[in-house]
Amino acid sequence: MSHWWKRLLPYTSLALLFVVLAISSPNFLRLENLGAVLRQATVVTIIAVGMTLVMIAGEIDLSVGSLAALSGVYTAFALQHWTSTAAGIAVGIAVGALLGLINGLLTTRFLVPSFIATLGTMGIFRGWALLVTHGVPVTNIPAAFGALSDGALFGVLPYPVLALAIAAAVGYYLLDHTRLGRYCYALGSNRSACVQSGIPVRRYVLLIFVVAGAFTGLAGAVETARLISGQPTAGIGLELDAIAAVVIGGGTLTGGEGSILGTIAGSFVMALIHNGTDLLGISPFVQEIIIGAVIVAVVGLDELRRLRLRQTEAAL
Amino acid sequence: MPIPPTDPAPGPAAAPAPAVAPPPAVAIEGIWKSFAAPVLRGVSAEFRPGEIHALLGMNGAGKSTLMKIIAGALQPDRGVLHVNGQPVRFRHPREALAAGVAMVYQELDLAPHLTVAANLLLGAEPGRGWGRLDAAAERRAARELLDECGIALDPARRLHDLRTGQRQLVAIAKGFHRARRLLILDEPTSALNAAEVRTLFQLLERLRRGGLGIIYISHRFEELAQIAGRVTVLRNGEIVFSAAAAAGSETAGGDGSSVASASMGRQTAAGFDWPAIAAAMVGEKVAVTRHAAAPPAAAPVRYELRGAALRGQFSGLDLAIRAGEAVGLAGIAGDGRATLAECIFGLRRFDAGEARLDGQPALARGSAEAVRQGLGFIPEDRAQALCPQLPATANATLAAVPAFASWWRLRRRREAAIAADSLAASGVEDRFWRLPSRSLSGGTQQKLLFARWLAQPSRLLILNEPTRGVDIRARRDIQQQIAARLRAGAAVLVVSSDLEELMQLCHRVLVLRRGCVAQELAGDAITREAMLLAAAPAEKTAGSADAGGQP
Repeated sequence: MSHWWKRLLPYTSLALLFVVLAISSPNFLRLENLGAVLRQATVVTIIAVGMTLVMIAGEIDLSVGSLAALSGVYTAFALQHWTSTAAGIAVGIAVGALLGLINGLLTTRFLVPSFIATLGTMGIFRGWALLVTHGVPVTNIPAAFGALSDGALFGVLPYPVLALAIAAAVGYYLLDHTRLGRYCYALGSNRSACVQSGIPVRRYVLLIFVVAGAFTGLAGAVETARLISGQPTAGIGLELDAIAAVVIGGGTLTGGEGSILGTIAGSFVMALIHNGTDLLGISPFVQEIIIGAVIVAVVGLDELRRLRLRQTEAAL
Repeated sequence: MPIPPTDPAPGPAAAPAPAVAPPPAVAIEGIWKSFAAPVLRGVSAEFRPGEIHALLGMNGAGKSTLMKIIAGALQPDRGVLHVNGQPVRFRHPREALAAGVAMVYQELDLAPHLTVAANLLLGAEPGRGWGRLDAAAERRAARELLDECGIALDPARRLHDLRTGQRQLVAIAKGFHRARRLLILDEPTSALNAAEVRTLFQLLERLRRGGLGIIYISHRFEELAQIAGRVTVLRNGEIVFSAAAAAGSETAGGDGSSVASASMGRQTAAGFDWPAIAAAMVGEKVAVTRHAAAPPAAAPVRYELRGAALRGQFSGLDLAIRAGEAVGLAGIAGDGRATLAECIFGLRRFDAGEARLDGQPALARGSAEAVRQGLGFIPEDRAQALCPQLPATANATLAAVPAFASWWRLRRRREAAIAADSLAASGVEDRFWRLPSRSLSGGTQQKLLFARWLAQPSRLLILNEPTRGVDIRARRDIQQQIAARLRAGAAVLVVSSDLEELMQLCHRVLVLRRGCVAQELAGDAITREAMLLAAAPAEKTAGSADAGGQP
């Protein structure tokens, strides 16, 4: 549907930002710096991949920050129990999917609008995480798991980036090459058209929340590796970063539009701004202002462009 | 208060004198209006105070254009409006309101979350300066207005707590509050049950006796027979019939009392020649080409519905459609046709009934099940069925996604082939295929929906107003599409208010009235007059109206 080249703004912004930073800061292009940017952006980008599906379908998930923390905590518990990396990641993904199922059930069966339902579960999941950990980080997990976040496959591809690449590939494939992806766009574009075409709407909305939960669960596991502990207070405010990534990448709050590549570009735009302002010695307070302004500017410019596109379409 | 005083003092006692004709509240003279084609051609009429003036006409006769001109929403190309004898020119509905003319847009201009009082006085709230509201004064004013209209409603209640009929009363009181010379009501009873209709008529009668002029657009002859003082028929932008009740009487006030008693439920023979009115609406007998070839008499019954019922909508309905047969549902808006179509497609559930498709049970519990069983549905409002951002191809294949996509894989080539076949066969030009559906014309969008039910083959195709709002060429194309589906052996159910279309498309037409089949017409017996009179007979008994209503 939304072919990535149709929406150039996120990519041009990303490229422009990259060039500007490369020129203005000598340290920017250093491998360690770029690696750090990637590592830092991993968790939020993986979450944003799931959020892309949810938002294209016209829903929203505000619980992702808490959901990532809770899955991260259970990942840590699983690692304590089994000491197997695979088990830890699997538990993180499974717990995430299960919590996504709760979000989906609230939205599709109890008919609570997803904004409200996930606003509720945002608090519930956070409280749940604090309760099961007594508010204390879950440490004593195998050192091998923590080492993952600094290690790299064949010494070149950092494992967190590998996780992101897999998540992005799966998300892209789901969205562009499966029935679920097609229905994501259709559901967000016009719910009643889906009903009238005989699509089991509630089942698919439920499924989309489960898939998004699984992505977020993976992000929680990555976060646990990064912090070498299950932090019940991790990921506060991540939901807004993920939504911002989707929106900068061409998604809308009303649904029907967006793409995985756009979201990734959107997420990296924010990561580069953070990194660049750090390198240039700009105060973190000003960083917040810049990021806020970028979100408004990118979305505003894009809307303008789309308005013109619509006018030319209408003239056809 | 910007409302000018009414000419006769309000109140039931002050009915206008029957002897002398009062000057018209609003008169129109030689109104012309063209859009792409002439819509109104020199329309002249007088709307008198204290008269309920019924306006009839088929779709496209120019009724709504004329009403918009009188209410100031449109300006005539030529012609004059007179208010109280003075020529006026309304450039905006505000100016019409200031002159005492208002159109009641049913529930559209009511705010459901506000109270009755707030709705009645919306935009004219009594204030205490500095933008502060005077709640007590608002309640008082609302109370007075409701009393004046004889509406027994608590002004503090919220609109969404009221029934449709009560909301309709509030809408009329609101219109009356703003404009006390002429009120225009467009199909005000379409969503009301019999008891609500009686209450509405009592209100209208009370306002009429107070000297208000009322233009009443409706197709329900039985209701018009109860309340109308004059009937005017518009056809192709011209007035082709106009007569006052009780033959020849020019003063509406004189026979007002008999009209009044009729509205209280007593059966009367109001002096209108209904067959003549139906004939005037329909016009000369233009030969209508019937597209559908007769299905072979031996064709098997494709779809069968028995004893279908839905509370407040219809009951005991039977329906059978043969393969290759098109059956039409005629009737008046609000008579359960659209709901019946939605129930068949599983968008709503029947309370009772049994359905079979090719002999297999086919009572769909949801649209997904209906599509699996082989049903297709094209709604009245195309916007409901299209994904605006998706290209024509994806919209065409939306119901057929399982045919080319699974959990793990979407075969794009296969989809492209399905889309191309169905779009081409449905007459959508290939230059439109990749465009988002929102940028396509209404006719192309409609063809796109036909393509959807070719991509996902349907054995029963349910069409609701299939050619509404499309141009003549698209209309012909769509009718050919339907004929092609029939030749392929599909059964087609057509819900339409366009009687000519039903004649063109259908082998049989069931005329619904208050949720029952009033008449079944077949072949050459399907005529516009027959459908009109069956849907809205002038003769009625108080009992038959009560049957459909619930208190």
